[in-house]
Amino acid sequence: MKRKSTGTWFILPFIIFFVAFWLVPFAYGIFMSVTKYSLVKGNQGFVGLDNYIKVLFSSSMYHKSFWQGMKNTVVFVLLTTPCLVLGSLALALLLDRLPDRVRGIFRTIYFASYAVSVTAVAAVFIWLMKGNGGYLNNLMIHMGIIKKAIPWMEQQPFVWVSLTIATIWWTIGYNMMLFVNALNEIDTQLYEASAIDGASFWRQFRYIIFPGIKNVFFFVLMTTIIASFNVYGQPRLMTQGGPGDSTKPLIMMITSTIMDRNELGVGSAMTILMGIVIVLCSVGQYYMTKEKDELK
Amino acid sequence: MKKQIAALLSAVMALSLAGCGGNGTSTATTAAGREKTTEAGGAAAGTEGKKADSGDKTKITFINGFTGGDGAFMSKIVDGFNDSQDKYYVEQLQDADHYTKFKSDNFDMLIIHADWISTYHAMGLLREVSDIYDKAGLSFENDYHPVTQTYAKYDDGVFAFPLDLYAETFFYNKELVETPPKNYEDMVALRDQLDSENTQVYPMGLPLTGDHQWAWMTALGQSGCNWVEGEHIKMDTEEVCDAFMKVNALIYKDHLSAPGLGDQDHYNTFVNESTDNANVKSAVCLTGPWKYTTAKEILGDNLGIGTLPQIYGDTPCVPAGGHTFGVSAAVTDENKIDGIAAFMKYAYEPEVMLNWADSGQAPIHLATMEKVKEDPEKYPVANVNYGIFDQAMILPAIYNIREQVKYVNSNVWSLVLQTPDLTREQLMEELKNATEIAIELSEQ
Repeated sequence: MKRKSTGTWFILPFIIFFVAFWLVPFAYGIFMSVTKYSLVKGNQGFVGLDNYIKVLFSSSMYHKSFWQGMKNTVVFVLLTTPCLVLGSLALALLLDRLPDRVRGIFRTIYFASYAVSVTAVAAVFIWLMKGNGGYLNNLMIHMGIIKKAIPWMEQQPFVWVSLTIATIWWTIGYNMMLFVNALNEIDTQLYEASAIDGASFWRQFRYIIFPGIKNVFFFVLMTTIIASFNVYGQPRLMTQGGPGDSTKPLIMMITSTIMDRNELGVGSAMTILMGIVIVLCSVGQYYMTKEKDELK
Repeated sequence: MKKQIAALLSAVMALSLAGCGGNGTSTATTAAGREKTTEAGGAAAGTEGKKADSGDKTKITFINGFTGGDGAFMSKIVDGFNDSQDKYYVEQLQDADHYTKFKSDNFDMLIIHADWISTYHAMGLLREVSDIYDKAGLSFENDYHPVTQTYAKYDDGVFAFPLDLYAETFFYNKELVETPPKNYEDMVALRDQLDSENTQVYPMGLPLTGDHQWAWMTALGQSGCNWVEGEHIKMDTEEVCDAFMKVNALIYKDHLSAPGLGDQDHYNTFVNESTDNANVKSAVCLTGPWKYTTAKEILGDNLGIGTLPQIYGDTPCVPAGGHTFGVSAAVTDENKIDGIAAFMKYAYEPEVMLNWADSGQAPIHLATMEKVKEDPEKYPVANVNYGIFDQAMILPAIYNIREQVKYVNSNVWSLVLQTPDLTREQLMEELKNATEIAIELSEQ
């Protein structure tokens, strides 16, 4: 009995913080999404599902903003996720095959970019990729590769390329570290045995490596998708969502709805909808992987 | 079962991530979204050094967004007031996000831009301040430049104390420009003289972002367009379409500006010191007066300041903005009102307000303006600005105006700047979108 009460005391701080900083704000967000709630005037009454209807089906500007933001976010997710997952796996495999002496050096180099703040990343990439006077364009012009500057930061589709490269450079190191650790868990005797049997790298990958890191792979995939959905800093600082609204992710649209247009109710509804989309993606992915397990 | 619980928990976690993301300050834990950005928060500074002295004095809280070089000059005024007082104490917070903080917290005073007053007035956030003018011994009608009446005065009274005005300023590089251009024809002649297409030195630069609102306001204003209808902007008219088409022609037909310029490139190309033609340069620059100091450092005696050329039409028009002091509608305490009046009385003494001119701004208080005019060597930009105050065009004083023009700033402007073969139909479609959004915002 005493043990039980001691355990409760240990868990109590977590419970308090969980309720205060997660459960209450979350519930309050849902509450605001069904009210006409202004940042200035406060709660102006219950409106049921009006905010959701306004966002999903009406001809309102919020409807256009939501779907434009969702489209931009999905484009960003599709562009970055494969590179961040497969690229980091490739880097981890590369590191795994390096001699012990240099492995640590390269691991640090690849991971170092993750320690940089998004503000610094944006500043560096603006300097690198700016259309007029950017380092990359100047280099290519002087090398004779191009004759006119490419608007990497100014015009589509180049802006998506810049944002994707900056994001990959910034965050690939974190996923790579997860894969490195997962690869370290694989028994080296399996490699040796397969090598004696004459297995090529691809066969090793298919039958030893991937099954060994599968759980980490799907964890990385899911967290990368979630994180990509939450993108904000890079487009905010590098392109200000432009040109036009073409790189404004959903979170930037939501921020604008709440902070600039004072529509806390509509913004909360957008947020809940965005959360539902992410949950659906995550659950869908979970069931896809489960199905594969059962098939095997 | 365990897996299902785990899936459920991860789903809830994902939902929480999205939930937090809405305010733009979330910290996701992995990959692309883990922005640790504090960009929106910006710098914050206060008059902390003086806090200990406040004692039993009546405290007046004051928030402003002067986080740049001008912040120290505002602090000088505030500190000077606090030193002169034994009854009142102004506690200042300088914060880049000061508008949001003012809306969500209880500040007594704020610095509010001229084009925000109409919105804050409509939302009931500002106090009518005629009584404070009287207590401070100031006259809104007689002590300030008449242009202030277009944005600080409403049917139900006066809602701000005008501080300064900053207008689009015309800079030119004397090395490239013999005689400052006065109209479109002069700009075309300048292009021929510079041999723009071969040298990559263009008469001017039109940027995708950075003073771009002023750029299109210049086009519409000089073309004589009326782009306001009631409480919203009206962009879907033939005259507005014509004005934007002129901007497009300026780039793609007459090549007065290089195409594809990005953020702040109207200024970057102007102060560009590279000698090869890999980068675009421009001979003149239409930008804010705050760029004077850095431009002067780079161009030295080659920097010229002149009158804005009539590029798009004959109507004189200079886009402008301004800062004002506003008082929160929540201020009802008579002691605080007296304290605010005492602060205004102190701040608008010309010797004190000259501190603000020292920051490079152009005070709009008439007595201070006279002092500034006496010393054009010390206040060159303010003096140039004073010459064009009469033609100043501030965003119309209608509700939500800053939000109403956002679509024009982003979508319409990028279409005009980046479409070589722009058709009127394409443009009109976006102008209609801009108008529809503006109508919806005006009705909120």
